[in-house]
Amino acid sequence: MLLELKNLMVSYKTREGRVLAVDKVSLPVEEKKTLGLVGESGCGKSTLGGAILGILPRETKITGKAIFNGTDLISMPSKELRFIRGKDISMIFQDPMTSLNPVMKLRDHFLETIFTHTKTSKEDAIAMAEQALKEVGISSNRLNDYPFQLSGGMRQRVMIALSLVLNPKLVIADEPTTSLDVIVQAQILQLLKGLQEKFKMAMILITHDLGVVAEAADDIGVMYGGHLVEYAPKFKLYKDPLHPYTKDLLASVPNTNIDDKELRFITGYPPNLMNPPQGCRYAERCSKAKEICKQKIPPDFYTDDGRLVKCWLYGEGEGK
Amino acid sequence: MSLKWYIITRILLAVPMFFILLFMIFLVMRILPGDPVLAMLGGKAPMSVIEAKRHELGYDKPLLNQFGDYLLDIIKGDLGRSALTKRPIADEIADKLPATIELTIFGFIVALVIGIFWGAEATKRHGGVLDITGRVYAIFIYSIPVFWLGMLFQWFFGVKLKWLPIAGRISPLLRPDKITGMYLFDSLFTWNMPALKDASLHIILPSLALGLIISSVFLRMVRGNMVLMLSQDFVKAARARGIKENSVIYRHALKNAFVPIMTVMGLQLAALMAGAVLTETTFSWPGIGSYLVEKIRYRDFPAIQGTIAVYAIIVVAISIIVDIINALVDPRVRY
Repeated sequence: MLLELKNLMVSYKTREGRVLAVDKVSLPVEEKKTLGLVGESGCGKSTLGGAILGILPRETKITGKAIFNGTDLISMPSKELRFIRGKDISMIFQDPMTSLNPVMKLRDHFLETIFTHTKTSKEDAIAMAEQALKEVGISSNRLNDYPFQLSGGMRQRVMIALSLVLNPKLVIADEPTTSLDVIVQAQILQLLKGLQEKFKMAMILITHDLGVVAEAADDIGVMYGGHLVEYAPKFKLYKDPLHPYTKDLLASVPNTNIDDKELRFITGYPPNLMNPPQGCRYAERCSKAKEICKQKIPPDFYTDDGRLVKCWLYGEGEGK
Repeated sequence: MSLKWYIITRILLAVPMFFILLFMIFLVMRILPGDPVLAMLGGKAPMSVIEAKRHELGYDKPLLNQFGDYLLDIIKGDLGRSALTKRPIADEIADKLPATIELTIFGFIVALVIGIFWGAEATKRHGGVLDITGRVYAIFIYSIPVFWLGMLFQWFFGVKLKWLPIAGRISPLLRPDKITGMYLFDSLFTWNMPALKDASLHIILPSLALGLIISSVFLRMVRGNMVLMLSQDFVKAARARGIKENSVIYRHALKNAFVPIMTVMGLQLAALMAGAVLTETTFSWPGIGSYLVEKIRYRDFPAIQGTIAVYAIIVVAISIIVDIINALVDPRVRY
């Protein structure tokens, strides 16, 4: 196991009080595999990614563990964590239009990153940058360009090259295709997938797009209201979802094989994390909710084949 | 390649700007009440003498012709003669200008160092000590008139502590040989250490007074723009690549924040030259500011007009320089 999250909790301080954005999430990330993290806006999936790298705002409180190669990243001083960021774990962001420094040449983005983490000569560093650009299909003479001279898709390719240039073991891709149009989305996704296999990296793919995870992920974690409500291998999850939220979510994906008059959707709104419900976060919208669901947060139940589901329906004893 | 063309077009564009400025100065000087010839000769001169003088100076020609003559003279570098001293105004200004430039440079350095570093460091910790003291400092200093701050300095450092001289540019006997007219540089070039030391002591108080006032504007500008930049995605992305926090602040955020800051700095530099009028008067600094005040007092119209024209040239030049620096910093400007 490359990375293991144990009871990870992240809370933001706001004027109105603390917001528990990620609540006791435990999750494995296997080597060379892709973990898809899905959920709707505000469910804590991006916060989870940021917490692993320690790039959340200073006021954020993080507890629990994120054990990467045997060391805990959460308790690591930020001075040491800095050497892991960009080298062993790197990140790709949602908006390629704003993720590159507009007044720096691409070359300087690469050189800065390489020199921060390694002692390399300038020639070697440029060769590394050129190689990385080649991997993402961008001509090396683009190194002298500024970000504004590139299109959005190209910029995302550059971001990918930038995150791969030091051969990280784990890439956290936070909505990498969301702000791109559909054709470019598919290209970027294929590129990421191909590079992941070639460089034998693990990847955490954070997205709200079920199509994206269906295509690229090996395992899927479903998040809702700061909780990880289900974790399963991709095919099992799509074929046989356990948690009611996962079921409703998959049912709401438009399907041309079914003759629906209207799109299916989940009624109600996600919970307010400033003042979360006492029991299961999904209880209010869940058609199978029982009395206990509204009173007690369900623990993580594990099925016999190692799937995780946070729902009283699958609990022994009192839940049934 | 395109940077070169940007600079060339920018300079060409400054030419009409300069003429418009000159025309406005010319017009304002003609519209203002008060007859320059009467002011020159005094109210009791006989009518024939006044008419003769008016003809001699060209004031009886149509306004447009007068402006044409004025332009021609300026292009030749001739700003006319002072009505008071009868010396060429260009020479008088050339004597005074270095003093003002010297004061402005050092005032600007004070403002720049305090404004940029305090402003940038304040944003490292939102609501931290540097942030809060910075905000209080900026408001406090900004609301102080420069002459009052100057007088406070004179009283404290000059009269009470007796550390620093309170007036003038240098002790009379130590004046260095003239190269640029700026004593600090001249004494440095001629390796005249006593003069360098004396001139340095003289410039501390006026440049501090001037610089501190302007620093408040810079501080607020830098802080505001830095806060904006630090919330940008590329800053987060740079942190995620493990870039050092100082590099994130100064290389990534400050460089991007610099474009709006530069523009304000250019405007402030012009204001600094104007603010020098008060500072120079307070510290008896023999620069172009106190020259202008003196000429206004004696209604020396040609000299006032010439001085303002020089101010206009300086403002135009500064705005060109600001635009070029902006183009150097931000590639998007020059395409």
